[in-house]
Amino acid sequence: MRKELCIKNQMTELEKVNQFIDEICEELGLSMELTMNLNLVMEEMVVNVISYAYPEGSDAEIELLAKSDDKELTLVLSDQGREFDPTMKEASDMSVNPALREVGGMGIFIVKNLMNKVTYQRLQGRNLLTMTKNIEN
Amino acid sequence: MTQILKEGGKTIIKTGSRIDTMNATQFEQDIQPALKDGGVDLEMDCTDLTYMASSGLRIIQKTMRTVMQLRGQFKMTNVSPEIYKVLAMTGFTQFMKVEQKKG
Repeated sequence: MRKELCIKNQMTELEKVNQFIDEICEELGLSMELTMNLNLVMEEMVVNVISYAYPEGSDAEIELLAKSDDKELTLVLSDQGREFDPTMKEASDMSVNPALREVGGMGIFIVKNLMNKVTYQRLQGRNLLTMTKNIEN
Repeated sequence: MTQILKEGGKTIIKTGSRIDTMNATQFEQDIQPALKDGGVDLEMDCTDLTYMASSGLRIIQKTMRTVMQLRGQFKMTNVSPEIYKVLAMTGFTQFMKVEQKKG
């Protein structure tokens, strides 16, 4: 399976991302839980790109690629924004009471926890975030 | 859609099916009256909730903080097993009462 989606750097495009992930999960026959988790992962990372990679109000495109074999589903997020490595973003300490720690800092932590591998590359002026999930039963 | 119900001295916030980046701000606004007005005993009923992003977790975080300052109580009920796992992963289940959906 190989599917691509190109979206604008606007929050309203999240609905398309959601549909894209739902379609992939349905095609691969993935569980409800995995579908929810993959939607969560993609939303967190797309929101990151929209929020940090481009100046506010600028028009840009973000590309999503999904490919799979029997064992793995790989999701690649690619944009031409400023260099931004979300894997380096410091996560909050989850052993501290959420009411007492700084608000946020959970997105990348969730993504790293739900996926098997998350890697970032800066390649030819593009941010490339590659996330892999084992889908073997 | 978020619903706010009063039951004796208790306030129940009944969530819609999703709390995501698109509707989190609306959800936060919707629950503000419950935090001002007798919101010391608060229950967030998640029966209809099937999806929550970190934007939703941030609102729960802020709500915990407000309720703590008001010396009140705040719990989540009827949480799906999938969402419970995310709440456990991010430390929420250790510091607040989170009840899973039965059956």
